[in-house]
Amino acid sequence: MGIFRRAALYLVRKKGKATLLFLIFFLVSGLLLICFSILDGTEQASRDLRANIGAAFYIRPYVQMILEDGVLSEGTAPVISEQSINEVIDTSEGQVKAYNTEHYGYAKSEQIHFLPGAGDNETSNMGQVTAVRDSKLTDVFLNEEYTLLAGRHIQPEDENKILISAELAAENSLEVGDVLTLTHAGLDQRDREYIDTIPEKTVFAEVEIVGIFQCDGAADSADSPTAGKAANHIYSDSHLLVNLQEQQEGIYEGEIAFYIADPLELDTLLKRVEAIDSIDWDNHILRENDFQYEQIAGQLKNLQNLAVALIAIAAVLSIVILMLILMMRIRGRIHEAGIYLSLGKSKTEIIGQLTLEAWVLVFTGFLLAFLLWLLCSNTVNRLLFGILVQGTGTAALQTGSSGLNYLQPDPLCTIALFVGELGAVLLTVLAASGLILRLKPKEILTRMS
Amino acid sequence: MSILEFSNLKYTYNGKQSILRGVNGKLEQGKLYAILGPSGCGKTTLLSLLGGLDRPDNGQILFAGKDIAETGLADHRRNHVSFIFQSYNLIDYLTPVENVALTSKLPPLPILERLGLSKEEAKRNVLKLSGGQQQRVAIARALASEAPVILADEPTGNLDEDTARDITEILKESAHQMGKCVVVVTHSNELAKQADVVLRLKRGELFVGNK
Repeated sequence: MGIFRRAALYLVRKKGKATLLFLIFFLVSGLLLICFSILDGTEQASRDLRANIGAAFYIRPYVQMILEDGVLSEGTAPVISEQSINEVIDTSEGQVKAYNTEHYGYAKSEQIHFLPGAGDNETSNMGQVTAVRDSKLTDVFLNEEYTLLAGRHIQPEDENKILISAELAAENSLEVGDVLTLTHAGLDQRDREYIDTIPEKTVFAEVEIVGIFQCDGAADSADSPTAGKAANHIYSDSHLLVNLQEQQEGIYEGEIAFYIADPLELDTLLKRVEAIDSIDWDNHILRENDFQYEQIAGQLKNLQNLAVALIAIAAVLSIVILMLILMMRIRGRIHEAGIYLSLGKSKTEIIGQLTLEAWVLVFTGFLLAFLLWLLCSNTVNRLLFGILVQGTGTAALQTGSSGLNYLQPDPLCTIALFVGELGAVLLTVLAASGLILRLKPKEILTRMS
Repeated sequence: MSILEFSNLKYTYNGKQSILRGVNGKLEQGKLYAILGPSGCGKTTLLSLLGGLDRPDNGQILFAGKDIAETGLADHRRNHVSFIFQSYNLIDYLTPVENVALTSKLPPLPILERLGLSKEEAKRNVLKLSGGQQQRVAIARALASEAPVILADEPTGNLDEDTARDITEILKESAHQMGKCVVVVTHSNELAKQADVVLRLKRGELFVGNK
């Protein structure tokens, strides 16, 4: 009779002992599966949260004031080139998921009457243009000071597209899809009067209104000129000011915002960016923004630490309990081992039978624990990460019925855990069987007699 | 021709108490041997050494002319000898049929039936059998192994008189009809009377005694 049959008969006939061991394996497997799923899930959730929340850093130019012969004057306006932007993107090694450029200018149109501001006249009736790469990434839209009412945002691939305010659209009966002709302009003040510094119009651009935004929250001061009024503000793509000859291609005066995927990488990335030589750091500053991530990072870390602690406790307890129980069981079977030895069965065969019995119970216990956890993990996922989402006040995790189940056991991790349990059981059986390996068959049988 | 031969066997218990002091003997097939002696004289130890359950401190045991220490004790136990113990030593989660099947590839039921167990008893849990029935299962297991040597340690020690007589008869038949070399350690004079050769162990030495 081979060890497979003997092991099967033992498990079938010694139901009480087999059931007890099965329950222990089931509980241990379940506990370890849950702990590893939580650890894995929190890591995944953390990555998703970081990716969804993201972080940003900005390179902001500032004009240095120069004191010369007792006269204070502005230095040259600092700029950032497209080449420097590309260097920042390259140095980020894929971390920059989006960026936005800004450049400022003025525009006029015979088809638009801008809402009059302080000292408005025909010459100064113009609007300020902020040329951006992606208008939805500008601070006013990100902070929801401005909201898009109709149409769409300016996108990187656009050329000669603009966004105008709802007030300006109403004033001029304009709507999304209308095409206008804009011309260059410049604002200055002479004798307390606002003037256009480019009186002779030589450059024109046909632009299409692609979106209309609401800027109700923006308050203008009483002395704001027409071009300074928020309602007269025009957002355009990066090409418009180049086409109106107010900007050199690939040169930006405004702040450049870089949005990165993983806030954890922000500090490292900033150090690498600071090392880029092509940026004039005497006239530019770096500022970072990972406020939202910092708010929830602590809670995520706590959850991960809890999972690691639970795994450590569960693993140690499981091994200790398993060792004790298997020791007791195998010691209780010394007599049986002695009989097998007297019948000429080898020690390897005897230990093989004990291992096989334990492995069958590990397999069934693990399988049941796995199936139950598979059924329950979604509910636990909603509860656990729902609390986290509520606690952090962020909707960056989708844990609802249609969302991700972060606690779904990972196949590779599950297989590794199962193999680990089999290995642990084998080691425990070997350790517990040490007594049998040391004793001579006569000693076993004499003791038991 | 002797199947089992042993010479100058010495065995010390715990390194101090000398149990066997140079025991010699030759055992032949087809004979029932009874080893007698007072308690603690080393009868069971001698049986264990002959069966490869333990190693002597000194001396040599030859099975069919080959040293069992060289061929391997586990191999000796598996192929050359089979044991019958006073306390039966059956596997408690196996039926009599399955216990016998541990040592034999032959169908166990005919052997069990020949030794007086019914079909129903042969498939019952061994713990639900009487002592006599359990000893019959142990004998069946020894016979089924087809080992030429049967070593029995007090096989009738726990049995009533009638059952003990039956078991003695079976052992005698095993030697005389099946050609086995049956070595029985016993205190029973009845069993010793049935033996072909009586060996007496005294003060660590073995003597051929009178029947």
